[in-house]
Amino acid sequence: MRKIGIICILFLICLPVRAELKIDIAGAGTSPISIAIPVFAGDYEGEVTTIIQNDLQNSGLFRVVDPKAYIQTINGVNTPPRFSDWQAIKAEALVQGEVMNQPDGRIKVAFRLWDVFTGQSMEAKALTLPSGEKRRLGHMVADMIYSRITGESGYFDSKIVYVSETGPHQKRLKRLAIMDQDGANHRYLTDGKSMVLTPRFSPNMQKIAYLSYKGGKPSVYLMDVNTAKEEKIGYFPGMTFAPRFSPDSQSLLMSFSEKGNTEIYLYDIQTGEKKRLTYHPMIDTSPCFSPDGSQIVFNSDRSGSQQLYVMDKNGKNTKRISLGKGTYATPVWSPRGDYIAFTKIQNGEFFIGLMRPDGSAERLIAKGFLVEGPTWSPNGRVLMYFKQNPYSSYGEGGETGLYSIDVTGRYERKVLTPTDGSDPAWSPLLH
Amino acid sequence: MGISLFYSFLLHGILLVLIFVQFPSWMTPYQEKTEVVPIFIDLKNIEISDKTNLPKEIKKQEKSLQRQEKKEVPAVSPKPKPTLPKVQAAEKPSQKSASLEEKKKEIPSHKVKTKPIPKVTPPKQEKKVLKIEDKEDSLDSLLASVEKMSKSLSSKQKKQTDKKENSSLGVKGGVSSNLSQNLTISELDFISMAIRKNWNLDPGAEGIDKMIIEIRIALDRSGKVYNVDIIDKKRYHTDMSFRSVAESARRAIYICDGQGVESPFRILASKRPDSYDQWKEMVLRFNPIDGGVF
Repeated sequence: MRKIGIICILFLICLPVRAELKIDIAGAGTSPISIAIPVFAGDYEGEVTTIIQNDLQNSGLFRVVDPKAYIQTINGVNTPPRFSDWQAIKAEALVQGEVMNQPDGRIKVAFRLWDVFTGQSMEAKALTLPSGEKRRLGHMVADMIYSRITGESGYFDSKIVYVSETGPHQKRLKRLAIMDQDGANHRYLTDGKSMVLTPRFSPNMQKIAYLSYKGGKPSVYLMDVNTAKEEKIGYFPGMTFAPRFSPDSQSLLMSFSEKGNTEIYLYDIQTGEKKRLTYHPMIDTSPCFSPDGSQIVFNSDRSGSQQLYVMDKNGKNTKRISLGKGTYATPVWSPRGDYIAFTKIQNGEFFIGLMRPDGSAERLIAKGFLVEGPTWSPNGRVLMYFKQNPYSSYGEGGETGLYSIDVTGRYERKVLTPTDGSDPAWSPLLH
Repeated sequence: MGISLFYSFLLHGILLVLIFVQFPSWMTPYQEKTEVVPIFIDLKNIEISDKTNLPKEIKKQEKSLQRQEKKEVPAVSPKPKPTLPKVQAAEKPSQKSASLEEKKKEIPSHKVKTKPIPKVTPPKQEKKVLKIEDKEDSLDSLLASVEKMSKSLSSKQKKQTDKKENSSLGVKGGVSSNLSQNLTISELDFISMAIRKNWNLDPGAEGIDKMIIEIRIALDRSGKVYNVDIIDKKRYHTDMSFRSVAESARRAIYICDGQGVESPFRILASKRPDSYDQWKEMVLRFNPIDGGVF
């Protein structure tokens, strides 16, 4: 027994202690991922492939490798890729796909996403839609690629509603317009006879709430997206504005102004019941629900200057969250719940900024002569807002356009619209 | 009378117990309790060596080597040369007791002059010999194991004196808790920076501030990466954001590896071929936020 004990002890002493070499890599770059997307087989006009390429490139997170550099020719999803060829042109991911017309008239798109270094298939899917929705197929494939590589849902298969502006400064024509997030399928929803402002999508994508001066008095209206039928919200003796849907699309938050005092109300769309949420002699406006519907962020000048506040959905436990210099307006809660975007005015300049829901980690990501009205992409990664240039003394200038920027503030781009545009609102994902 | 005797015994008993166990802390003098002397280190007395963070055993062995070398230089006693044959002689024990005696003779001479490494072993042997006199079998086995240990030690010393290099002791000897001590800081920084240059990620990814990705890589002797393994597989398969960041880190390794002769791993292999044991496998810890996203 003692022998065994001694042997064990000696064995333990002699046993080598294995310790691995560890190297820390702290910090990283933000260069986009290089992705190769050869034209899909059967996509004769290249429409679907181009949509995928543009979506990914415009996100700022991808760089589509120039097709002229491709060494291998890919014919559909069943061509085995020669990964060395794709590594040679510094592609990190490869998409191969094909577009097929189905016997029932629908269109099918199949694709494979490859990790060029490991040679592993990262994604392989097929989608089928009616032939009229070919563009949507492209957006949906782009969403899937984006989602697989970034780990977050995409935002390409979505729409934007905004206020289209035309005409001179003194006589501006403002109409509601809707388009795909990339500017395609643009159409007007109102005729421009009445000025419209602040359109908002309902989370179920069936309605749009907005402020209209129809009849001379500003009021909140609801429009059915499919039929374009309008209806005025409730009976309010004063002015209603700044509408925003609840996460379940069943009710509307909005401001009601009467006798110089503005308060926040919750309006039930089905029953027409209204509930007052704030009681303060100063202005409370621009309410927005948190994604889980438990809290509301709004701005108020109850402390002497316009600041951001958060309260429970029943109007209790109001707490100021903005503590920086300047004034804050138009707060919008991110769909991810991690940020609140806002407009900030400081020293005569306008900014688009972000802060955590508790008011911490404030940072400004865009600025301009007039930047305002941020709206979140469905995945909470990108903000869209509008920017206006100053007018000259001759009344020239004043161009107004839509811009998008990612949450890091690194990648800003202009969103192309047929006319000047303001007050954008991003829809949820369509699929 | 009986009660007083009882109390006397009781109190004496308590006193004896207290003496045996120790007096409570509140009974000890204040100075003893708070006798914390600050340690001041005179920087003038600190020797700065050319290599930092060497494992203790390597340092000891280096010292012993230096002492042996010093011993060779003076002409007072040319003993280092004879010592090696003595150790070699111990490797072939014809008579166990005789070899033990030889060792006993050797050890005092070392103690006086050179303070060698196998300092602890002889007393142990003596004690065990005294205790287990009647059990010859166990004694034999013990002696055999001691001889084996002395053999291995002597062979190690030989290797060191031959090579005068200790580059891969950390791995084989198992004495080091961190192998990176054997590669220089600049070598580690070089690899770290080269990978960082090629590591690109989406800085807006959710939860990025709570992620550290560990990837184990295996290299061949030329520095070519032949295995890349994301360690936290469970999170890789359940947390999509983690998967995305982990894959971006993996891409960085492959991009580095694909740089041919400019690959940091190949450069390491060409500069440190002798320490392959150290870098043939390494864990890369990717921390997206600590170093900033640039």
